[in-house]
Amino acid sequence: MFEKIYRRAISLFSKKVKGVALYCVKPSSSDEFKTIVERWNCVCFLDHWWREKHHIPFGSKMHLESNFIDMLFEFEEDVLYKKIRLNNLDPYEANKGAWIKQKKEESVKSKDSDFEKFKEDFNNLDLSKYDEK
Amino acid sequence: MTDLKDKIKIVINGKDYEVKFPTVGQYRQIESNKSILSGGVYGQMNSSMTEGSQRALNMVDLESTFRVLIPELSDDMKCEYKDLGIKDYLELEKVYIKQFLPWYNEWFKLLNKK
Repeated sequence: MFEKIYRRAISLFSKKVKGVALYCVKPSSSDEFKTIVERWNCVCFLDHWWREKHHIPFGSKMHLESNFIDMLFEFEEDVLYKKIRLNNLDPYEANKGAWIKQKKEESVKSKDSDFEKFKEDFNNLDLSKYDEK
Repeated sequence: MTDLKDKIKIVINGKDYEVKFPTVGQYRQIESNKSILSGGVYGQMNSSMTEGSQRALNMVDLESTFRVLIPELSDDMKCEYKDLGIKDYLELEKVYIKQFLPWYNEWFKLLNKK
């Protein structure tokens, strides 16, 4: 069974990565196959990120047509724009003391205070008027 | 056996961070960061006993260590370490010296004894 999977993997990978000797070990067990997957993800670490982002299955037509330069370009572009967006939302002003982002904490705080308010309102509910009806 | 804790909680700008004593890989990473951040002249800066170079070394040590041991801090900061204003940096340095270093150095005292 592993021999069959291995051959399929070789045919897919050789189309994608020419000249990269990733698969020198013939898998005879699931552990060896895991090693192959690990090696793939170590060498082509952006590949998984890219497939996950676009919901593209491994070995699909789209995947085989992609290339690592485009993936790297897209990754760096994402990082760049994320930085720009963050900086626009919450710009850093030097020496003002607010150099740590507080958003997460504030949202947790507001959730906590919402819950406290709800609890207080619930405790203050006058249920007696409902009993009368 | 010592009762030295292998992790501590430090408070930076009102946020809590858990810091663990480095693993071998992390320790090596911290040391190589020092070389990278000092532009490869860490040794020379260390041997030069000027006040300025010692201060710069402190900045390098702080960033090298915190980048590895508190990676969440880099994500939480609004800017890169190098872009921090001096007043803001001093706040971070205070945490480094008063909260972090005493605990960190205790570990090295213990390691050096063996």
